[in-house]
Amino acid sequence: MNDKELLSSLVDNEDIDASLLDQLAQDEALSSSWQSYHLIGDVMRGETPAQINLDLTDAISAAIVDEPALVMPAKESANDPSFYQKFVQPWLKSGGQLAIAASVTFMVITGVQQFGANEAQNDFSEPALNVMPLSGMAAPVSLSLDNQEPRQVKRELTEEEKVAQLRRINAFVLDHQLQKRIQE
Amino acid sequence: MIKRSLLVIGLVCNLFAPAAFSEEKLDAGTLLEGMNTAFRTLNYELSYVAIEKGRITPMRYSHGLIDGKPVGHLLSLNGSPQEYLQRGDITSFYESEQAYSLKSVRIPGLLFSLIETDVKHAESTYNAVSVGGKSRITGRLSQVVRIVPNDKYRFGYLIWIDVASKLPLRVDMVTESGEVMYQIMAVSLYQYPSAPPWLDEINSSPVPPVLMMQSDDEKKQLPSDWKAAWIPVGFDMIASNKHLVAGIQQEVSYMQFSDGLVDVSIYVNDEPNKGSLVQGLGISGLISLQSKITEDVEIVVVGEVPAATAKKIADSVVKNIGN
Repeated sequence: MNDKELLSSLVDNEDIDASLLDQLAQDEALSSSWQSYHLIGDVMRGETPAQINLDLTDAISAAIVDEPALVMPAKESANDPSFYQKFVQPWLKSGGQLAIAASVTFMVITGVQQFGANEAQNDFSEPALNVMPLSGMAAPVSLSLDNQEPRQVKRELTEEEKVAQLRRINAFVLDHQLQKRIQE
Repeated sequence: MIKRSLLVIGLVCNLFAPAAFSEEKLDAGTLLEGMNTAFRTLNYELSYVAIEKGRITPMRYSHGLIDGKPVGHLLSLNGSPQEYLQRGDITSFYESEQAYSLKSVRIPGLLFSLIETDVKHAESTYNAVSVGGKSRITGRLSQVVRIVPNDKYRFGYLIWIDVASKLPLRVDMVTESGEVMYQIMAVSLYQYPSAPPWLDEINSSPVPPVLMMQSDDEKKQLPSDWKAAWIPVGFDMIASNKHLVAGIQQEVSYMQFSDGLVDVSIYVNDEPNKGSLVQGLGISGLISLQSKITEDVEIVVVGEVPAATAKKIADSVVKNIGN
């Protein structure tokens, strides 16, 4: 039998030969035939998937080579003079908060709105869409009111107030995260 | 056959007298040191999920030595990408359109704090204990080290260390009663003989602007009008200043304490009429936030400590009469 016949029998589970399997792994042409034979078998049995991807192994190798280098590259901020004017200068002038704050505030607000909307339905299980920067980084916190303090008038917060409270909570949590980065 | 019987006998002996096989059971300090070295020197890619109150965040950390310099890259895998790139002693933060770098900082997150913290030097507050036996995590054999706090005011940790590579595979942050508040669980680990090519590519990307504090004075010790009369043993003040909290646009008095592993921030806002929290407690899992409201101040304590600790600290904040 030639290689292809052997291969065909292997595909049909007729003859499992370890040396052939080794050969298969080594030989690119044979390996390609192996894929084709399997596909032919699938078609004959009516087991073809809706979308045929002939070269999954190749696709995976390609994906590994194309591993993204910095998925979200900065917009060349290092070479952008306005960046310094807008962000670095205030940072230097005001003792260091603004530049970093500008970077993270956006995410927080998104997060708060998501969480606020969710909490409004009294559903504490899971935010519908978690857009927090990192779990534990600026995690939304559920607020439980502590009414033991006599000064605190016990009343329900309106939805707007709840959102404002969550926004404020997140502002403090984020600032805590920023301080951790700065103070080393 | 003889060999196999010996192995069986060995295993049985191991079960009944683990101390007799000292080379098998390393002490916690050695295990942690090994982990620290492996984390900083090996070429690998560690994918893990961070689990906090049912929220699962998948992350991937790649690390390699490039020209003898450690390069680490952490990437969030779901949603808009957050990236952190550490090159030597510069860490770059890619979280929004404008990336920036800071000097001498590590990649943020509990995993990286734990790796960097020298538990031996934090002996007054934590003890490292090796837990005998091995368990299987991410399809690999691992040894468990417990980091036990000396008091009930901070969290404890369990770290599963891969026997073969010495890399961490799982971290549980636990309360005194053993409840897991935050968990890091590896899902895959690949090791490479040298830094993988994509890390090389990332390493050659331009360094975003390095932001610096104007001076050390500003960074630290402005005497505060406020003080915490109680803070757990081992927490030292590392910052005291007044600054604007972004997002609420209010200037507050600020103090930061660290026990070498976790931090506690104390905020005092003496204009609560311009905006304030209601009194309450918030827990994210990793972080507790306690607010305390009186007639003239809003006190907010935030930190990676149990809720009761945050509350006790908030209740102890008083005016600093000395100033």
